[in-house]
Amino acid sequence: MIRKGRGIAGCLYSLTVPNAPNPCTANVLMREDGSVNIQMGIVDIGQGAQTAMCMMAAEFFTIPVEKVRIYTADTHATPYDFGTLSSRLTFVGGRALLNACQQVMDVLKSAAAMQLHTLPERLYCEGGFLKDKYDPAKMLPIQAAAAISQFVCRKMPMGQGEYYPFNVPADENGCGEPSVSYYYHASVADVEVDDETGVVTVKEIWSAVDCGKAINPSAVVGQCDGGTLQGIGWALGEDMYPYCTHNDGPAPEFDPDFRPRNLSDYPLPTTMDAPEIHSMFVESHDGEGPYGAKAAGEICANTAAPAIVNAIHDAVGVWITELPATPDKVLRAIREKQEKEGA
Amino acid sequence: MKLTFFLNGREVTCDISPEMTLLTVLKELLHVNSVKRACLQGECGACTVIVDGDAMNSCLILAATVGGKHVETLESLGDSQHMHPLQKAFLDTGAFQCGFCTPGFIMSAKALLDKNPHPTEEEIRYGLSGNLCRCTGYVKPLEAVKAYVAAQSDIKVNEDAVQAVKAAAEQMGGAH
Ligand code: FES
Ligand code: FES
Repeated sequence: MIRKGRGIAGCLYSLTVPNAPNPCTANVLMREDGSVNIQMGIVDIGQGAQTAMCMMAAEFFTIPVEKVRIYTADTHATPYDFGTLSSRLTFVGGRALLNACQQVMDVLKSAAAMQLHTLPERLYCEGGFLKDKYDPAKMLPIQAAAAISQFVCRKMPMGQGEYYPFNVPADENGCGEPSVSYYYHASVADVEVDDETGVVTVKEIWSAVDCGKAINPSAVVGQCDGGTLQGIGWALGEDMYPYCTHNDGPAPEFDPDFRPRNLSDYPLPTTMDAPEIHSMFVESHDGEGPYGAKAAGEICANTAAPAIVNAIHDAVGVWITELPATPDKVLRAIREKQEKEGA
Repeated sequence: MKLTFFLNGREVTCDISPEMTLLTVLKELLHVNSVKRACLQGECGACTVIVDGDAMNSCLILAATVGGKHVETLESLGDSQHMHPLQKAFLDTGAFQCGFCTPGFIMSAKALLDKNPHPTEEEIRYGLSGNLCRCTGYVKPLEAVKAYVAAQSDIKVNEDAVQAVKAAAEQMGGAH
């Protein structure tokens, strides 16, 4: 018989590396045509960090994002970054980038102030122009300011920004402030469990992330979709245990010929397995983050599996305590429960 | 040995050794960048190309077997200046994160749509089931193909309207 169940799960995640100094640095240069070059050590493995950086710089200088170029991940040419981990790139990288952009802006403002016969403090940036707060007649295109500072003031509109996220390492009682900020995620899963075969099917799943300000909303939703399907894969099929355990041995050791070796032994969900995924983000404002942003990466893969396990419990009343919840495990748990109830 | 086939409509000839797969020939001899090398087992679909109208995993095809056949890769669709509407649909939906699977997805979708211009949701899912993606959860790639199909049928409706208007105009012309 098919039994339906619904489960929910939530989690929080640190968005800088806990208890470690994990700095990021950025070089920013505005060229005389108003285009911006960024150099950063960050590594984009597909999560969209480069796009997020370009979007933040474009927002800062109020120019189209096409005018921003980014060059990353080359120890020969780019400054230091700690790494792509702990969901830190948008947050830490974004802060470093904005610090560098601010330095560029200071140079541009003093050049523009000279040209417009005003004070740098009175200038603000809007629509690709530097404008005087109190005198609307005074404005200068940002590329003109870049050209003037470079060729007239003899000062390059360049900046070098860095950011060290604040944290307090844990003391001997385990107390401290591991991360400067946290972000949150929750999933609700609707599943169907066949109590005769043990097959679990996810019918629909909702997934929501609190990402602070969504810098690139489409990418945030994309991360949420993808993380959720990964979570479903881990919950129901994917199994990778690269260690052999000895019943008497102290610690598991690495198994040199462990499976899976390739995708043929590792059942990744395909389009035929993917249920309807409803992803959404809930925006909040983080006081520390760039433009209030936090992160949207790793966390999205975390709550699907516990939500599914809870839904299985809701449906057939058994707890699956070891993933993946393959039909054999689910069926065994159901049988055990039936035997206990029968006895 | 010499191999001659049609790559994206152009005849190419190259010197291959008999054990080379189509993937190796495309990537290493002809420097076709869109074709991706991943599992080499026919599992992931990152290497999908269209051979005589069928989407195939180029890592499983011996190059020697495509002599005289038509092989299409993503490059046949368009580049960033002149995008094929299907590529545009993927871009507009944001149907990728890392993008490693995207060329394969687009080629599979193209092969499907060439044969069946109005697939149902189920047919789209089946048509793309040979392509694995770790990043997108398939939500947006499926959305992109659906958006493309919807847009194409819109155009078709408009063509029908144009035909109807023409016919009406002719009739009126005839009445004069
Ligand atoms: S590389 Fe050909 S299917 Fe994976
Ligand atoms: S976008 Fe990364 S694998 Fe599909």
